[in-house]
Amino acid sequence: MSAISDKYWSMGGTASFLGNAVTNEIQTPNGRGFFQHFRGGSIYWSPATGAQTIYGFIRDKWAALGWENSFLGFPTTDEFPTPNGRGRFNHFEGGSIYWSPATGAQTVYGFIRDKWASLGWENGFLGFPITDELPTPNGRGRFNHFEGGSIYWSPATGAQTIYGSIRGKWASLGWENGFLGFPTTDELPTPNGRGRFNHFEGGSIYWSPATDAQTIYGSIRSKWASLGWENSFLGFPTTDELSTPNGRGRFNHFEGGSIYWSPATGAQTIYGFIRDRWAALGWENGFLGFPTTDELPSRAGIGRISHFEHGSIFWSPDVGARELRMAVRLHTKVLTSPTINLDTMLDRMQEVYSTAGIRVDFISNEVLALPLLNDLDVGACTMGGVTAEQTTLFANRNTVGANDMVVYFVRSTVPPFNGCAAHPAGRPGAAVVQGATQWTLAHELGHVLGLNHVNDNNRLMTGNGTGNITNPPPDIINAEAVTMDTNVLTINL
Amino acid sequence: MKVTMDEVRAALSPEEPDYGRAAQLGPDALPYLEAIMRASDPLMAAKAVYLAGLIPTQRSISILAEAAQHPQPTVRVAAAATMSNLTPPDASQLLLRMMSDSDLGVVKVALQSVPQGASPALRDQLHRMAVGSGDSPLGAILQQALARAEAAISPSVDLD
Repeated sequence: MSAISDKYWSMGGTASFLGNAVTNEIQTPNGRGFFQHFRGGSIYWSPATGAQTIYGFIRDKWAALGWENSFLGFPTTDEFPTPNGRGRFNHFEGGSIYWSPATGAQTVYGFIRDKWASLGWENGFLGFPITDELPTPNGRGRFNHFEGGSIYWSPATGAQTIYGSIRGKWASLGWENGFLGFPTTDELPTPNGRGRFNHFEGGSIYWSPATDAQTIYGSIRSKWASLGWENSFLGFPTTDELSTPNGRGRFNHFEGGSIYWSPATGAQTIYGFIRDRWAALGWENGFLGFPTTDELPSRAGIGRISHFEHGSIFWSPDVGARELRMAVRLHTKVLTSPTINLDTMLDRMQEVYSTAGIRVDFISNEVLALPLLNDLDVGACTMGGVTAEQTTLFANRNTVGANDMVVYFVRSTVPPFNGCAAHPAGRPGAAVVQGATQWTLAHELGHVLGLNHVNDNNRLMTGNGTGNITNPPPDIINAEAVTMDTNVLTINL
Repeated sequence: MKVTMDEVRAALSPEEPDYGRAAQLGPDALPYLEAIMRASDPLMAAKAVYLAGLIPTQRSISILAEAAQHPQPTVRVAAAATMSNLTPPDASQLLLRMMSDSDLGVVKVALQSVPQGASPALRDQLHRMAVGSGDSPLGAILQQALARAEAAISPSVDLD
């Protein structure tokens, strides 16, 4: 009695589904084992695998592959029903063949089989294979499709699951031949539990119920990652990475804003009211062009600002989002620090000047040890008339350009003023004292830019004291904005 | 003319007060200026003290005397600055004490306010300061103050 015979008779012999023998017991062509065919199937035996039955569609598939000479080798199990009762399988030395009525007989082996096994075989979400393991068209890897998705493998990326909407998006982009290449992770849940993602060789696809599956890659993906992925304020992408209509750059929109990229400007975030304003101005096709910075907090946090190729947008709760087409360049030189924080003064100046479309570029700060000028004699403080002390102090223009303004923070003036905008010719600037208000800096430089006092406590240039401003931030009226914009010290962006 | 605190504060509130016009509030403003000097806003206190000097009365001299010892140097600077508006005897008396102020800025402005015809005591003080002033940053200002102080008693001194 042989092992094949034993197997045959243990199953019931001619009364079993195998029925009568149609061949003798024959040595396999490779000399590694023996087999016998029956009317209802076959029994294959090798010393390593023992005697195993194989029949039906699985036997047909195995036969088509070259029987035991195929990569599958000898069967290591009988054909068994799957635990869920939906199909059948044989395991082999080199893999498995799974069959179900809906999916037919399909080979699965190697790393893909290992991945599938780790997920629960046919009881996992992938279900039965619907294809054999096949080489990818580009020859770089292999895959099986399953009822519930796919497993893709390449030497560099390993075997990774992909399914659902993410798989659909990836498929629409050309599978592994698209710019994304092979998946480098399984489809995974996002840490916040709101969505799912696959990373790929060339980027990622993120999905959530609200945003669907969207591609993100390159510099935009890196920026998003640096902010905390979907856990950042941007949330999930709501679009693929797309080319801008002008062809100069690319962008993704997100739940909480956008990231725009161009070769010249890099990837920059933009969101909220500033994004709304930029959008209203025509996005990157407007006069501002692409963002050159992320949205940034202003110096003291009173507002926020994004810079663009040709200007900026400033926002604060009090003035909203304002586009800035012009700029003034400002240096500070400190003999005594003001009581109101300098950053607050600069923010307040930016807030008010934004209503005139002017950006305040704070260029430099220098501490000056000039004790004899710390209580500065400003005389009558009239434009065109300066004292010897003003002349001496305003000569300190280290690193200052010809059309840059300098504010000298002094302890006090003689006589006592909040500030004084009188300056020597060709040395535009002002003195501001320690106890000045948060608006004094903007007020004095308003004088430097050509504005005069007005009798209106709602306006920056009130002659009644910026400490008495009734509805902050104070206003700059249109005529004043024109005066400021046309001043030689104001740069067109 | 009846003056109110609001009027006085309004006169001092501008970034650049018009002290000439504010002085027209007259002596009725002095109690308010004194109150502002004693309040907590150093910049308003300095403005009040300076304005007080432009309304020369016995009360303003009293205010300046108090201001000359104010804990805020900027108020003392304002006091020193406005003493140039007083008569030489009054100015000399108040400035004399300020010459030994611990704050360089106060002394600088006090020197700049030394009137022609300063009192002998003040002139003596200036001479003492000049002796050994050496590399003092106030050297030039001190010499100018000394020349001015002695101008009235030595008419031949060329002040220009």
